Amino acid sequence: MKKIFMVSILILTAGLLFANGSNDASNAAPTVKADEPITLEYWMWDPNFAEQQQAMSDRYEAMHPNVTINLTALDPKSYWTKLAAMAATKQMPDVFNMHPNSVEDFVDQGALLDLTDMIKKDFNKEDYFWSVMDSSFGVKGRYYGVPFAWVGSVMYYNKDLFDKYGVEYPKAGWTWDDFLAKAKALTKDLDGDGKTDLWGYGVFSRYAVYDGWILQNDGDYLNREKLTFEPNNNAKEAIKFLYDLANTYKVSPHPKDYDLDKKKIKLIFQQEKAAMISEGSWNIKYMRQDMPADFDWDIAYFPRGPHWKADTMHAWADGISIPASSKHPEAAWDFIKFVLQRPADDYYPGKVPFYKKEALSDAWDDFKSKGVPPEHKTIILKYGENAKHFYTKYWKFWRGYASAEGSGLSEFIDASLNGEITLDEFYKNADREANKMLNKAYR
Amino acid sequence: MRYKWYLPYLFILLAMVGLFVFRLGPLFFAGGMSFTDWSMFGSPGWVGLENYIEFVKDPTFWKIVWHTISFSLIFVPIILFGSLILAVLLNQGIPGTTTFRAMYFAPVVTSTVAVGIVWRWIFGADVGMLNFLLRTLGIESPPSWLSDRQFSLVVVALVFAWKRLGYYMIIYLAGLQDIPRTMYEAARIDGAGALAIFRKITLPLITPTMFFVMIMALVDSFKNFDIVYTMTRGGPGTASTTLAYYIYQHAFELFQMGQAASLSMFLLVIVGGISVLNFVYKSRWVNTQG
Amino acid sequence: MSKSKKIILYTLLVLIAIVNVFPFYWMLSISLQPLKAVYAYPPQFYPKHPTLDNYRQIFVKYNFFRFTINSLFIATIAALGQLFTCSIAGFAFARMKFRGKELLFGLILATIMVPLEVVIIPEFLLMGKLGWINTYLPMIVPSFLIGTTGVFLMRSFYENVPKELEEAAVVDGASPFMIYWRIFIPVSRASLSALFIISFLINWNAFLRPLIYLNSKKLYTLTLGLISFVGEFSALWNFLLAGAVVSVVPIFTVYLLMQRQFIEGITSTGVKG
Repeated sequence: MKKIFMVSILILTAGLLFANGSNDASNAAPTVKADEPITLEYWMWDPNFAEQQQAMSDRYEAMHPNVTINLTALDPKSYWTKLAAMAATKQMPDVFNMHPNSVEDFVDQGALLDLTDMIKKDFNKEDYFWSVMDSSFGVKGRYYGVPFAWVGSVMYYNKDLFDKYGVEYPKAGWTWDDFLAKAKALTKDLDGDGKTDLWGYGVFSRYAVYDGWILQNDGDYLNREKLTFEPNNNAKEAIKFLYDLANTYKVSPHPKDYDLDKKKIKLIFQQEKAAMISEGSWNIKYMRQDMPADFDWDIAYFPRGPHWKADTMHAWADGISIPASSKHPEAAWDFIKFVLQRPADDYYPGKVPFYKKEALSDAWDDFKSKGVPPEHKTIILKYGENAKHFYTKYWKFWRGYASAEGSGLSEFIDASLNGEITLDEFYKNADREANKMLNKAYR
Repeated sequence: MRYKWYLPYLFILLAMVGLFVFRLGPLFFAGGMSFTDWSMFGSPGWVGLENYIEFVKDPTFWKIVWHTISFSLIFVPIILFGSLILAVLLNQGIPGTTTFRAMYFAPVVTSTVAVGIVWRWIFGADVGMLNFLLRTLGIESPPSWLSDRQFSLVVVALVFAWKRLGYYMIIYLAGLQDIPRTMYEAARIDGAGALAIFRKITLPLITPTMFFVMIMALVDSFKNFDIVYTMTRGGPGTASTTLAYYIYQHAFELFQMGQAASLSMFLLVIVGGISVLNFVYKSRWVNTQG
Repeated sequence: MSKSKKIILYTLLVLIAIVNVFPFYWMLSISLQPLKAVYAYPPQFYPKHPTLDNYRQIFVKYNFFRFTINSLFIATIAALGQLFTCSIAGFAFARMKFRGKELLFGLILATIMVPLEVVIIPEFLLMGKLGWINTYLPMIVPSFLIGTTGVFLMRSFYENVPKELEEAAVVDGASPFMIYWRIFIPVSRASLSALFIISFLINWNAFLRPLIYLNSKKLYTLTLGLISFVGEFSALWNFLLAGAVVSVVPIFTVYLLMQRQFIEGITSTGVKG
């Protein structure tokens, strides 16, 4: 009995500690024959779209019997943490969604496969919105990801409320003055208790809500040469305008009064507490399906500021990458090409296919083909022409995103919109905190 | 009992593997890491004291240390006295005690995540239940609790105290039940009032338990990662970021393993100080807790 | 006790009970309402048109049943492991003589208060090296092996077991392991079940380890399932709170059935972790 016990305890201990020593050996066999069974781990960041992705993977599997696609859909808040954790332990998925907000971080760590040669070999530039590829996944002249779609920030407005209060819909080329007049006309105290119940516009610090304003005044808050936070005068004008919307004209609520975050901004629109909000174009899906609005709505460009020069859109691509350590780069690449060719119907509503044929099809313009809102969905197509974004290394941390949503620049934007700090304090704090991170990123 | 010299070592082997591989090993490893610039992907480079110096010079770091201390300053007194009050009330031996005890204990078995979710809803700025009550009571614009930098940390600490009160109540109850009934009866015969009995008998005899509870609550108050993560994620801004959360952020979001390790050393020093305090005074509570 | 005193006492007890129970009531109430009613202002104190639709939806969209099984599995194995590790080590520390005993026991005591956050980073790297990420092992193995409080508790218990019990067995020629297994384990049944319940509770509610170690949804524990639910549906509070209710029900059942062990567990271990 004693001996059995001693032996078993030793085995248990040894097993616990060394059981996985064999792991490395199995990792060291990269050569794969043509129809040897292959399993591709595929990670995406939107569980709300997992069913469609799964259907697509199933189709691919049917065409390639030796390939199994294992789909993991993580919520966007934990996606990047998990992905980096897997990178640290050298167990990255074989194919995964990549975003320009992180691509530099990952390239910097040597975690992504350089796809330049494969892209040049297999892609015909004219068939795709190529500028989006360059601006979103080009790092020092090499490509580390392929866009499957691109997106941008837009203004959403509640047509029923505009009708009800006799306000004209936004027109192409509308200006800040037009916007302010409409917002004022739509800010109402409905029950007469001296407090606003309907706001003309809802805004808070989120990049997709806020940053589009700056570009439509020909502004920039980054010094693109030195890669520092350094808002120019046009950007400052936009920041002041947004500050005034909440604190001077009072057509936007203080973000804290509604605990505004990326979900609640949509909710105040959906519940008709705000007649206009700005958000990413991918929220068309949310407005249509996840929490359908029971009113008529549409989208518009951000209005033009006094220093507007040309319509400049806050837009970027969602893409797919392969890890540098991939065991099956060819199989992964083949799968990516398949993903890119899928029909427009299959796309996330509000995201524009990278593949022009699908993007320009009637199927994608589903207002035309099926009559579903928004009527002006095709305005997003023009975003490909003059798109800009603010992504850099460490962007999530100095700008404030995902698990750090309320920190970085976001903290001070919200504090200023809440009227807790003045604009001078905002610039001082933002300069200190954002540049601390940016200096770390590029030192 | 007769046995070979090595047998006891086999008996403690599993515990020792746990101790050395998952406790002491990581502890020393973290200490070593704190002198490097290890990022999650790359390989580490020695940077000496740079991480520490950077934090000490950074006002944000001191803000976060202050949040950590504030959290304890709110949490510990509530636990120390709140759970004592609960225990004293339940120790009166009146009918229904078991039911009340079960209700007071319910938050303890609930996961912090579930607790955080429901309280976040109650503390909601616009449609939250609490602000509805406050507005009904005539308070025009109640605070936006969790989105307000003045309140978020306080609210989180209060909710955590709410969750943990029942646990310490049980410890106090055990301590109270060790006080002989006869002492109370004698005092009552002498005509002492309830307050006098509490002051003259309960309090002195419960003091060792109180000390124990204070130490435990202090240590507990640093384990605030779960509640901060679920309720505010350290926000707004860094208003409710504590050291435990800051470590997580640096390690698993910024991927600065070296810096995170040096932060964890700061936390270790604080907890270590309390442990020493506990060790020095342990003889005072160990008897009542046997 | 006088009548007025009793009234005051009961009033206090009930008021405190309301503060303790209301959040649970609120959780349940909202989980039975459609979203529109949830966001209605002023809030409705009880569901006017209760529906189980939220529960149906979350079980369709989200495999809460699987999460429950996962949590149950992890917490049970980890707690059982801790019982074994702690009791056998506690036995050795209490009843056997060996070199370095005081030192080793002192080391165990010294680490009793170290928060997980301090060691989690090296632990994470270790788990990565072992290839244990995205398995249950990181949730089980450390809890299995670390039982600082448990060792302390079992040692103090075994020190007080009368010498005669042990000697009778020695006369019968029993080995130390037999003595531990046949005599000490049975006499410490109450302590062990208390230790089990506390360790089970801690592992059941554990959050940080699942958060950083688990990726595949099919492995998620209840706490992690619930928090990722927040990430995905955070505006859908009716779903969220239905999820919270589902996560609370199993442990409440265990608690109501085993109240005595819970309380013994706390009073005897005193320390969490």
